Amino acid sequence: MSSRPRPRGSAIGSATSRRRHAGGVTLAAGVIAAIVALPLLALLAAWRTPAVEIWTHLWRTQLPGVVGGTVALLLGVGLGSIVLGTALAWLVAAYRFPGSAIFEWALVLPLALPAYVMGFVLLGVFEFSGPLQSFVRRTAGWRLPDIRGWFGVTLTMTLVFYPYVYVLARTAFQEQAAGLLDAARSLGRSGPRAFLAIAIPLARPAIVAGGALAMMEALADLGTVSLFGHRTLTETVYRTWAGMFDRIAATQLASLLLLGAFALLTLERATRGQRGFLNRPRGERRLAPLTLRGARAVAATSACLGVLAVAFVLPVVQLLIWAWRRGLDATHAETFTRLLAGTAWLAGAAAVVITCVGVALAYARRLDRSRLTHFTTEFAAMGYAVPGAVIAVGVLGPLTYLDRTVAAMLGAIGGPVDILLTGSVVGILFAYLVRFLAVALQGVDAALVRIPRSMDEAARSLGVAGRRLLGRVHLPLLRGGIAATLLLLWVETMKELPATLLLRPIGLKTLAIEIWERTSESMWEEAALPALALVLVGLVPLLIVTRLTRGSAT
Amino acid sequence: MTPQLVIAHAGRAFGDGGYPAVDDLSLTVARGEIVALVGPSGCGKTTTLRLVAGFERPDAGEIHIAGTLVADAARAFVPPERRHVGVVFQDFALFPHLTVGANVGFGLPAGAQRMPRVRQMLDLVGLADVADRYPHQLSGGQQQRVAVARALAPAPALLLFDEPFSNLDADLREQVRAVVQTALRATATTALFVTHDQEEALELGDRVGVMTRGRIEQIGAPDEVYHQPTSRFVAEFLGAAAFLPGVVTASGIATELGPIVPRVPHIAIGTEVDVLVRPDDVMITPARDAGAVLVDRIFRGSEVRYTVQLPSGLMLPCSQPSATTVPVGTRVRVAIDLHHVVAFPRSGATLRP
Repeated sequence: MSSRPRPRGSAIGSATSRRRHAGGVTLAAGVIAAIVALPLLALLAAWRTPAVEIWTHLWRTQLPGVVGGTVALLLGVGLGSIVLGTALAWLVAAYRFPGSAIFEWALVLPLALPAYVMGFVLLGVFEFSGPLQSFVRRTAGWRLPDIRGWFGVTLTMTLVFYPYVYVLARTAFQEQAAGLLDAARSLGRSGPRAFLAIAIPLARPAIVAGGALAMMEALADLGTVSLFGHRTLTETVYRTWAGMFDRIAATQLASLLLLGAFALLTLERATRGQRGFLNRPRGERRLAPLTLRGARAVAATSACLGVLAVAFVLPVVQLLIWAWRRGLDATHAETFTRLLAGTAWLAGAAAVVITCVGVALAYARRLDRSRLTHFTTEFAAMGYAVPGAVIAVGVLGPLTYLDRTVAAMLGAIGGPVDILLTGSVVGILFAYLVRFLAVALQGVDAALVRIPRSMDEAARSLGVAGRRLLGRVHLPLLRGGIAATLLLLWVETMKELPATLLLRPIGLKTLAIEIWERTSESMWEEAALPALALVLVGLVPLLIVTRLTRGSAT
Repeated sequence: MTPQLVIAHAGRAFGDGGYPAVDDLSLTVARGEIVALVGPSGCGKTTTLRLVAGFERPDAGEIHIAGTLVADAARAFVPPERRHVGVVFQDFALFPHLTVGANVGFGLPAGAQRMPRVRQMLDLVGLADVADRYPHQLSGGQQQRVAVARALAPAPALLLFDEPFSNLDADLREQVRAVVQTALRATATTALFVTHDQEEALELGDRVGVMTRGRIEQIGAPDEVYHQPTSRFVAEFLGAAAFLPGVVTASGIATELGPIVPRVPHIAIGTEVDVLVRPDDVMITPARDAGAVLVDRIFRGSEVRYTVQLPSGLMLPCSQPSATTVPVGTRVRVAIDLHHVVAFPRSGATLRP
């Protein structure tokens, strides 16, 4: 044929030696994973120094109480979220009642409230001079019990963390159990009996995984437990470090906390593995809900409405009232704007850094399917289970060492001796990277797996490989996934408190820190506006995720 | 003339000491030829294709494309992007973010030549009017044709098809197959198909290779492999087959249904054999006193497929015109009319007829 274009280059590329480009990818992934794992390894290294005295002291003074308080909190929050989340998920998945379509997504909303915001709103409402107590006192002459302590923290965290269980359980009910529940119905078992006999056992892995996530959050929390005066390991690490400047004791405590985190991680991972087997086969339909009528419909609607009111509507309204009462004078407005800009900037920088690393690791995993690379990337993503306070303490070790080394070198050549990394924004960004890399990896991975391998192969057989493959095929297809990941990370880092508190450079303030400082002085009205800003920002990813899951369902 | 593709003793095993997916496989494809590899799943046909494309490396043997060594077991390896081999994938693998035109032009160098070539390729597959649409706006058959146009656009030395029509509905399949065949002939493109569908292989290939356990068991013209299979596997894989036991005599093969002539000259007199019988070789005539009986009748639209039970209990398939209405239970006289006598010694060894 005369119009045949000339083949690219020579007819067929000359034979080249076997290139092991996969080796480079494996190495790069390994290096990133090692850097990310450094803070945790530094903590484990603390066990090398025998600190018998410190442990003896800790044991005698506070450890039993602290460990007890932590375990009590974990049990309370785990159980509370599982009961509340599973019950709501079952209602929404198995029944139709007035508002159920709205509740299906609205019941996730409490997740937008940082636990410490929910906490201070509850404290403000329940305090002696607060609106609720005053009302009850005036009308009934009673005095409500103080909610400081275990009960208050557990209630607060259950209200904001139950959506973890709710989302996973709802999906499990809707998608996994559909056919089997229909079978149960056809055999004469429906309603609560089918729920107990079929749905719960089937969804158990999802429920347990959700519970584990809620407990991880509870373990990592600093703001709420401090507000309510409940002693936990995280809170003790912070106090030991920032209050008593006892770095060795804090490091030892942090390593103990790390063990707890790994236990929860193991629980979550183990159940996540089982969940895979129960996934709905493609094309099978979802569970068809039964329509509730009369009193039962009213009861279902009231239950959902009640939870939503307490866990979302009332806190937001209370915040609005406080913000309104505080008013917005010029100085307050200026401080707030500066705070907002600083927080957004820091979170933005963090989101970009973490996403870049996430893209690199996810891409490494695609290019090199070896078990080693899979393991390294999974290892690098474990930070999501580790409390921010632990990561902060772990980050400080290596950074301080690096600072000293650099300072010594500079001192030797007569340069200025100063702290470079420890007091700079580098420390915070590093801690964020360790803590949130999993979010990035998951987000990018989810987008990447939707590009079938045959797409890569088609491009390569058409002569497009390497960087051009990335630019012409992968990046255009990943754009949406990367944008969503950036946004998620931006919001998560904005809300982060413990690591930010421990690592922030002098003078740096975020919305979360402002809330922490104001609420520790019980200045609820001052904290209201920053809290509202965080809630608003926190709603964005929820809406995105809701839209995404809806998109995949159709 | 140099063959366009030479695979010599290629081998590829997966996993640690896993059994080989491709085992000492050799194949030569002449320029402009269309070869179809067919076999059950797990026979190694897709691995063979991926070895040629460069998505896998051989553990043994050599692969040459248009006279150039592209892979061997030692060091030589040309990556897929430099092999100049087009691939049409089972899932089409069209780029969802690019228009049809941009998909077809993907493998072409930028420049003035690009657009005319894209248009020419789309004309070839009859899709000139959809160049500005996106893949998801097309039907499955259209997507398939775009995939073919895209693979053909850079005028590859060789075009590979991986189960290309298995994602299409039956009626669409015929139509797309014709378009593809025309496009291949018009561009004189050398092509290698792999498929599990024997009808598709027989229709598409200038030659058909039947694969099992990592090797090509038999390769030849479609009617040759169908009518003169060299093994029971090939005979059974390429269509309905039954085996009628017999003994080789001087005058022919003595069977339950009488002597079958000519006898197979390669097999010694006195050998017990199985004679290959296909449904269209079996003639039936209803007769009250006959020993055979119709035990099953399946209406298949264009034919009626009976199962005949011989007095010995042996079941034979029998194809009759669609209008036949003889009911199950009817006694019939059975005759065998073979155009090609294919017999395999009872021991199971294979011999050329």
